Amino acid sequence: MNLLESLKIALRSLRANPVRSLLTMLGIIIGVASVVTMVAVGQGAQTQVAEQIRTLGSNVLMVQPGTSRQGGARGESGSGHTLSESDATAISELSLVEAAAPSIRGNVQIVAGNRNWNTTVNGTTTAYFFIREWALAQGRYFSEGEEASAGKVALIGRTVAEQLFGNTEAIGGSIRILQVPFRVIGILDEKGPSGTGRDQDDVVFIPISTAKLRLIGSAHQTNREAVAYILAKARPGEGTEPAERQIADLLRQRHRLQPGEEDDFLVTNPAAAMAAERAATRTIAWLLAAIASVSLLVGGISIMNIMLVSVTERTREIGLRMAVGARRRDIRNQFLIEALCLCLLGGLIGLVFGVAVSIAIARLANWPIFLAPEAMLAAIAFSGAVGIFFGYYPARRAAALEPIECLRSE
Amino acid sequence: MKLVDAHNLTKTYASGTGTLTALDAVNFSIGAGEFVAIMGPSGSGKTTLMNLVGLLDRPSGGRLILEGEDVTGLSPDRQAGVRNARIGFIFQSYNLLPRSSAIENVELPLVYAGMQRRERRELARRFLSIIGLSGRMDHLPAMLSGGEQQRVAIARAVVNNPALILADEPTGALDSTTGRTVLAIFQKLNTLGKSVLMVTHDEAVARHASRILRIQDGRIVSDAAVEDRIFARDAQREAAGAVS
Ligand SMILES: Nc1ncnc2c1ncn2[C@@H]1O[C@H](COP(=O)(O)OP(=O)(O)O)[C@@H](O)[C@H]1O
Ligand SMILES: [Mg+2]
Repeated sequence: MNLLESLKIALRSLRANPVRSLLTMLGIIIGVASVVTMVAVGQGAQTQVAEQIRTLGSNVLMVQPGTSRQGGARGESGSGHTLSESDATAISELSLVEAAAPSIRGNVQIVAGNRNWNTTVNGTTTAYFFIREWALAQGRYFSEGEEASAGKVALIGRTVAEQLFGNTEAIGGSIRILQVPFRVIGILDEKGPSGTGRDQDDVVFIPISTAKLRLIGSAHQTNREAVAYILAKARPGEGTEPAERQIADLLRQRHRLQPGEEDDFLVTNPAAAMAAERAATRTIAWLLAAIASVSLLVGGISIMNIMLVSVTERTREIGLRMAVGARRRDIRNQFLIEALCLCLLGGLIGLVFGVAVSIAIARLANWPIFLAPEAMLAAIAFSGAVGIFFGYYPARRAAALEPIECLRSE
Repeated sequence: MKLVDAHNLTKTYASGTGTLTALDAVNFSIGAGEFVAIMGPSGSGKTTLMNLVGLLDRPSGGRLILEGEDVTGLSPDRQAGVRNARIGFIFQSYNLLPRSSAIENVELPLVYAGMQRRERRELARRFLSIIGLSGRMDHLPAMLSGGEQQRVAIARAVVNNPALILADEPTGALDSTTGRTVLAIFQKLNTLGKSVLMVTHDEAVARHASRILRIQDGRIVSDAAVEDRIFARDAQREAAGAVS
């Protein structure tokens, strides 16, 4: 008897008891759905984190004012105004640091023609774009002259360009920031959302000199030297820790901190933090995959159970088939294929559910929808393996029956 | 060479206290083209004998020779092959697969014979129309009358062109007219060269055969040709038109 024939018989007998078949498949459905969802969620989270790390720029260190980790009152970081532009310059001259860029920022409304938009204005230096490996889509960066003379020029992110200029040419256009007109000299490449979900392209960059001159007067900052944070790029090498230590030593020295006195700044490696988060999601994904496997196992056992019932119920059919010439392997294959169909069908339904749930979660979490075909194939293959594994025993039992016993039964 | 040769064929069952001998060293043979009826009271061992001859059951002793070949010790799969190619079964309760259509039921032996689907369909269709069920090919057994079901079962028994047809009380569940139709078909098949071995406890049914074996308590007590054989003429006419 060929495969197609067995398949037909199997599907027919599954159709004969649709509710029972469905209930039997439940374990497999849940198992496969969970596996697919977990893999998708795990990979979605991972790709997202990897993407965020990539958009951050490599070997980027962030120096923020504030108390150190060991400090009692955390949450102060960023509010202490202990970092200055000259700190940034000093950091950039360190041997393990390639570049450093100070930054001050504020949220303001900007206007172009009759359109306006609330965004973040970031005052920094051209080094910032080098550190973050942020290329231009169009135009150019600040010139040295513009940085030195507080030029009223701006680089705008993709989102701002779209909001203020739409389809019209932005380069050379004029935007007003706090009533001050700026000329747009460049549009930055798209970066996408940050680790915290913030739109990184919703930003306007101006030279830090200009920012201090034009914007800070209206802000509540008192120290004109102070910067919000400093970005530094460590030289590629054995990790960023040596550079972190070098920066910390330098700043302690510059801030004249006594031994034993707490740091008044914080050096962090955002990529490392993200990577740690990634490792955590991976662990969770594996844990849930393990739980899913248990439900596949339970599903397999319920398949075995129902197949044993089916063999008992269809003893007479088995006898008749044997009487007209079915060999033992024909009977075995028939029941094996039936178990396989049950599992594969359950696997497919589970797959559909899993994909639906994955998409829903991806939407909710604002992740890229990540459905790995290999993972799906693996899930289906695994449910098939469950079918063969748990279907084998009932199938062999059926095949071992004696024709006369079967025909006499009922 | 005889079609069936039974030498001291014995079947014992373990019963509560000891052993029950259902068939006690039976010897008989059936030649090609014979139509033999087996008669005997209930519990005499008729069904047991049929099951042994049909290789559905293994004897406790003795040997069974089919067309010169000792089939007693064949492996289960080899026996399945013999059942498939050389024996056709007809049961009192029809034993059709309830979820398969008439034509699919008829095809079943051909499926296990490894025949291709198209060929199989064609052959099954031909046999169903011979048996007068052209219009019922796609009906499920539940949609057919008892007589129709038994005719489907007959078509299934002969579709793979076996030399021997075994029928255990084939008319037992049918009314007399329908029963006669079935007997007419057997007689027709017999004239076409098939050997038929039929169990019955109805004297009138048995007289459709050419020879009657009587058994009692697991022993053959008489073996004689039928003198006043009945030919199922009335039913035969309608069936014959279809069969030939
Ligand atoms: N599986 C079995 N186990 C025990 N005894 C059996 C079995 N099958 C048949 N018998 C006994 O063997 C004897 C012959 O049975 P059977 O061949 O079915 O008789 P018949 O078909 O002539 O009515 C009976 O006494 C019956 O009870
Ligand atoms: Mg009987």
